[in-house]
Amino acid sequence: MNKYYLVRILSDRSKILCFSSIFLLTFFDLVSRIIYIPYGMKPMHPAFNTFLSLTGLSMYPSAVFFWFLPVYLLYLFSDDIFEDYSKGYNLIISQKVGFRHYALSKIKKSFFYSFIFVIALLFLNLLFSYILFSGATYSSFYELIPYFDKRHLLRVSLSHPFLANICFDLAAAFLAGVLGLLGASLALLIKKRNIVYPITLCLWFIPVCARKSIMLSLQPFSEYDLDYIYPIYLITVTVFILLSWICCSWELKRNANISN
Amino acid sequence: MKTKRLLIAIIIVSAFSSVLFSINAFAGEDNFPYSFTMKANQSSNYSSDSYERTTIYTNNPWKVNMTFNGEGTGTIATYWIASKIIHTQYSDKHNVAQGSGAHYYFAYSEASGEYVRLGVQNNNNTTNSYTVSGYWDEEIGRQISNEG
Repeated sequence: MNKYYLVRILSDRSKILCFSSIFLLTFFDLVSRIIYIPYGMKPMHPAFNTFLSLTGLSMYPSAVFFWFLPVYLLYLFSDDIFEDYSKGYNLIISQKVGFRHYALSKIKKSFFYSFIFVIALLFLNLLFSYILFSGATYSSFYELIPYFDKRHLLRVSLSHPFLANICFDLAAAFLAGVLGLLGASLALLIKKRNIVYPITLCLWFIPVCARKSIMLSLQPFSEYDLDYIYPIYLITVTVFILLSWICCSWELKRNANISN
Repeated sequence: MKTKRLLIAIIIVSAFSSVLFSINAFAGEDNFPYSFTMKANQSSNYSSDSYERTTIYTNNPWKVNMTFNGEGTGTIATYWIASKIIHTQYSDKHNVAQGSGAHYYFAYSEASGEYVRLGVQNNNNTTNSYTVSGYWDEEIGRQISNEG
């Protein structure tokens, strides 16, 4: 089933274009950091040049990626749900394997591919950063050391910057997986693109625009300690999983007669 | 004798005055106040005032002292100096914690003889804007060996 979904995604040229555009966005963010080096800018240690560290020249790559993340994930990994409903494939597959199996496989697939997509993107970004800026040791974050307690997350991250990047990359990827899960659940329940896309985007913007924004929990090397950022992350993930479960349960109940 | 003493006094006063005037001919360390908005989503903003970096030395640093950040006590903002009109970056970007005192940073050689503004952006990608204020100087009038 996984191979079938992968072939379905990769055979669509517009999806390949979407993959490539997002990858180029993160690559551009990395490469743009070398523009001022000929003018005297000190290149920073590779761990501080990653996409999540937000030390790039421009705010736009990060903004374009994170603000519209649900749209990319829905388009890449949940759009087949709308196609299935429009062509009636959902009924054919449900008759063969049961609606429950069909729905759960769609949801698991969306979570899994969203997670893999974002983790691959961020790990590639980390790898290219270590290649492009290998040998650099400077970081403007080291100047902040005297102003934070040694147990503060910033101090701990500065002691282990590579590990800090890995942890935050995993957190971002898991959140993306949960976002994919939510999009797939809404798609199964509502079945209309022009309703699911805006609803998913609005639900995503609630934690993004909050005073304690979810974006703070995706940024290594910030001034906010763990006790400030993990509640936001936990609440957002829990609420999204709960909403996904509600949508999925509702749709399963509605289709109980064709469930296994 | 009296005339001789008067002459010596005049020479000494003249010597001191010339040294004093020559010191005042170069820019000293100033504290220009600034207060403006640190925009949302890591957008850059710049001080309304600009000053000319007359020095040719990149290690005659610019200074920033962030005394207030609406984001909260001890929070961080990113500062640099930039050209007056098109905001070309004229120094590295540096993270400054609120209330951490004055910091001195090197400029790029392109900043020599140019009018510069203080640039700021939030180090966090949030949708909130905050007011930041403090003091800055485009050059402090002496060379230093280490930034910080």
